[in-house]
Amino acid sequence: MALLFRNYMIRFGISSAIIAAIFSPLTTAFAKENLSTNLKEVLEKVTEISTITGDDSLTKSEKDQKELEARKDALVKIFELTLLEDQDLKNRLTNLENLKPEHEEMRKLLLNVFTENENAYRIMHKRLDESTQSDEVKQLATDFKNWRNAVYNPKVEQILSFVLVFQQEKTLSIARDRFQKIQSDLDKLAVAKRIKKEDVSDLLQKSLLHLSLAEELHARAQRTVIASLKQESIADEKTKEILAEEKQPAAKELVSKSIDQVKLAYKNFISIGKIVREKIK
Amino acid sequence: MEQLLTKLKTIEPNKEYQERSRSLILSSPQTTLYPRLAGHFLHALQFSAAFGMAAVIIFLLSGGAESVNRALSPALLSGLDQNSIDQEAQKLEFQLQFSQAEYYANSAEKIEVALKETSDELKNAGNRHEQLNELLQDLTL
Repeated sequence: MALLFRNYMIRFGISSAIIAAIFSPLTTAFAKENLSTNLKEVLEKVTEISTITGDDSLTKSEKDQKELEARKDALVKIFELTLLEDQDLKNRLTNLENLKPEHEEMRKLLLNVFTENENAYRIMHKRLDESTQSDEVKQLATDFKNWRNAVYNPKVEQILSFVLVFQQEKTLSIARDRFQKIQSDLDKLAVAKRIKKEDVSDLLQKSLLHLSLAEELHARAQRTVIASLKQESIADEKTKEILAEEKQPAAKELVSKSIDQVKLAYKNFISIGKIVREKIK
Repeated sequence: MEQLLTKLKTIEPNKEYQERSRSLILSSPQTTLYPRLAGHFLHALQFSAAFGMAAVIIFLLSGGAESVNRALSPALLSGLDQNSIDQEAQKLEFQLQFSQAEYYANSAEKIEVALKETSDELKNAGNRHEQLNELLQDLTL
């Protein structure tokens, strides 16, 4: 019975992994769509505030009441959106595969952020529920804005950089495989005297150069992300300040430059394909 | 009869015939096991070569050279397959989810304005209308 259950669980696990692999790009697209829809709802609620404040047909008490409700609704929507964003980022982090043990540690460190965030939301939500005056809601909005700027936004930036850097690893490995396959095909064609190696050697060399540059930029991006995470765990404030003052290029920017190099390599791959097709006609 | 048989026993070849026969036997080639095996092997080799040659001729006659050419065409060489290269190139951005990073940058900006409006901080800002208009533009997208 236990064996049957174990086999069933293994099959279930494999099936789930296959389904997840097939649908993961779709879930990503749905997640983005969902976030965008919620962001629109936030903006709709906020514009309601200005509509009410500009409505001269309302009495002062009516205006105050409606304004209080609109501000509270806007804040609830903003909290909800922030929670959804948290869930999305959490999924992105947990979906990363084949991390090295030291990077796994960093992922755990980043995942802890969400527990801290949950505590912050709980406190703010409680304050919102208890607010009966417009000034209290306004103050809460200011506090939440300051918290987002000081804690939330930098963390989001760190998580996105971490995810991008480790996603880029996969892209680079695909590009490297493609380069090797092309090289092997060109060797076969040269042995069969269908092409001369010189026909494409320049483009092949350039592709390799672009891939090497992409790898170098990726390595720098990875170092930047790791350094920023290590900086977080340093207790000494003075060292933190010194590290923060050092101009570090943004990891996202480095990944973006790295992907540009991969794109150039692919441009050359396409040109090599065209030349070969011409020669073999 | 017995006498006849005894007589026959005494019959022997003459000396000259004996000598000639012995030299003839000794000068003839000796057949041992190894040369026989080598002979069989050579025979099999000849047969294989002939069979191989026939196969090559049949292969060439049936358009074999053409199929070698086809196997070396860029469409069938997996590394140079145009479709795979194009697909990989298109997936580059998608796999990296840069658009998602853009969403978060945009969201951070918009939520900042939304919270400023909710806290009434925007009321005192000189560009309140511009900032709210930007939010409204986002709504109409």
